Amino acid sequence: MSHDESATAPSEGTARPDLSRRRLLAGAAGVGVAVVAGSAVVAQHVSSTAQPTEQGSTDGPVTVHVRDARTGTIALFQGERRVEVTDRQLAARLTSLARG
Amino acid sequence: MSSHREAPEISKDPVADSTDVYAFVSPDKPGFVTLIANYVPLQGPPGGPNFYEFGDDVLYEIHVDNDGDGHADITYQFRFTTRIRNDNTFLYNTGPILTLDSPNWNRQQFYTVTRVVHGHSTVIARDVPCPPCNVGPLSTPDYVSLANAAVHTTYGGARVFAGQRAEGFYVDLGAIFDLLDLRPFEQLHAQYGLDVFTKPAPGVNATNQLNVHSIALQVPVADLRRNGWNGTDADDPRAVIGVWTSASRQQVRMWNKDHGEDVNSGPFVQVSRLGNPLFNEVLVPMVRKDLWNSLPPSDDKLFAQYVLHPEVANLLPNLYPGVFPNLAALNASKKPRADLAAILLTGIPSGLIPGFQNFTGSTQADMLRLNTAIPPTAKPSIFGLLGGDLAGFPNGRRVQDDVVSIELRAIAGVTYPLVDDSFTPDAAANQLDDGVTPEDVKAPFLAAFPYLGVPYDGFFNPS
Repeated sequence: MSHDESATAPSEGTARPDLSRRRLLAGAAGVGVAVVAGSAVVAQHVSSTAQPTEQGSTDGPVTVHVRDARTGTIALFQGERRVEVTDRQLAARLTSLARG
Repeated sequence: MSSHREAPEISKDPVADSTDVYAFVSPDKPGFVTLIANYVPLQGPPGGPNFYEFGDDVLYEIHVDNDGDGHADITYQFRFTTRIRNDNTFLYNTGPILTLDSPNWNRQQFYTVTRVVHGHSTVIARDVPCPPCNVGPLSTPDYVSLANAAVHTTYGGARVFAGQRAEGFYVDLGAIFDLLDLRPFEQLHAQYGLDVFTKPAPGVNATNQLNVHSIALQVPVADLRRNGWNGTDADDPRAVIGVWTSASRQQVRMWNKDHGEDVNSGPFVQVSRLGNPLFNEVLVPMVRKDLWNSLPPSDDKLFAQYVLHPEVANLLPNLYPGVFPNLAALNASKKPRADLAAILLTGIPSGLIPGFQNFTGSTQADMLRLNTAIPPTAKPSIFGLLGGDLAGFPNGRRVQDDVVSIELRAIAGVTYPLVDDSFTPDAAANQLDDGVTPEDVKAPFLAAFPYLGVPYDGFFNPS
C-alpha cells in the first residue's frame, strides 16, 4: 500500500485560504506567527504512512520556513499540515523582517 | 544493542527510540499473533520524580505488510495523553497506587489505538490507562495487579497493553562495543597487541535490571493476513506477514519560552524504525543510519549492499586471527551474502529449510517476517531456526530468542550453505555468542501476554 499524504506544492497565489499570503504577512509583523528563516530543520524524507488518522485542528500558530529566499521557496506549517509555496517577494519580505 | 540508541539523531530522542520488535504466534492463545514494540531504552528504575513515559507528541505505529511490497497494509497507531491530577506537588504519587484510578497517582498516561487498513481508520481502543512505573514497595505495592488491570480487551478478543516492562533483550554491550571483544572467546581476539585477555570469561548482560516501555498487541491471526486468510498451510504465501515499528514526530518543533514547553506543528515524519534486530545498528554505516530511520522498508534496496557485504563479516577474521579461515575466504571471494539477504530482506523461500518458508517476494525490505501458520514450539530453542526451531527468529521473533548470537553466527557464515552447499562454515562460527542468555535477565519472562517481565522497581534496583 502506498499513500503519500504530504501536502502538494501549490503555485504562487494558490495557497490555501487559512495560510493566505495576507495572513502570513500580518503574522510576520508579530501577530501570533512564528517565523523561522533558514534555520528550521526540515526532514528530507516524509514517511508515506506516518499520518495520524485523527487530524489535529488547523487553528493555531503558523510556522514559516523560508527554505530558499533566492527561489522564494517557503514551507508553511499549521496544525498537522504543511504547505509549500513559491513566492520570491514574500520570501524577500520575510527575510528582511527576520533580520529586524 | 538491538536498536537502542542505534543512530546518531535518535540516540538524542529516547522517547521516540524504537529498541526492539517482537512478532510471534501466541503460545498460550492459539489463533492469535502477538506484536510488541519497545521504546524509551535503558531506563534506570529509580529515575524519579519524573519517571519514564511515552511521548504525547510522538506517533507510535506497528505496521504489517501482508503482500510483500514493503508498504504497510495494516497499521496500528498509538497516541498518548498525559494528565496531572495535583498541581501542588512535585511527586509522581502522594501515597500508594493501588488501582489505575488511584487519587494518589499524580501523573497518568492514557492512549488511543487506531487500526488503519488501506487508509480506512477504526479506533479500536480509546483512553486506555497505562500502568504507572514500578516505583517501589510503598508506592506500587502490588505492581502485578496494576499491570494486569492495564491489559485491555478490544474487538474479537484482541488485547492491548502499553506501559513499563522489564528489558528482555539481553546483550553484552560493553564487550561488543569494545572492538567486538566477545568475552567467551576474548583470549582469541587480536587485542591490538595489548595482551589484556588470556582466558575466556562469562558474558555480562548490560541491560539487566533496566526497564523499557512496551506497546503490545495480541490480535487474531486472520486480521493480519492478506484478505483475512484463515488457513493452516505454512507453504501458502498468505501465511507470511512482515512487521516493523516506527515513531514519528511533527516536522516543526519550537521551544515556547513563555510557557516552557515545545510547540509542534506540521505533518508527522518518521524519526525511528525497526524491523529485524540489529539491522540499522550493525549493518548500516553511521553516516546513513539517520536516513534509514526516516524511510519505509520499501526503500531498503538502498541499503542492500550492507547486507550483501556486511562489515562485521570482514571484521571477524581480522579481529580473531586464524579462527575464521573459511569466512575469510568467502569474504575474499567478494561473493554477495545471498543468505543474509534472504533472512533480512526477502524472507527465506521454500525448499531451503524443510517445512519452512517466510518468503515475501523480491522486494528488498527489512521486516520481521513471520510465517503465522507455523505453530509455537513446545520446547523452544533460543537459537530459533539455527537451533532447529521453526517458530523462532528469524521466523518472527520471540521475547527469549538469542538474536545477537543468531545474527553473529549467520554473519559468520553458518547460513551461507543455504545458498552454496559447497561452503563449510568455520567450527567457531557455530559457537559464536556474546555469553549471555535469558538466564541473565533477572526479571522472569511471562508465560502470557504481554510476555515481557514485570518491570524492576526503583527501590531494590539497582542492587
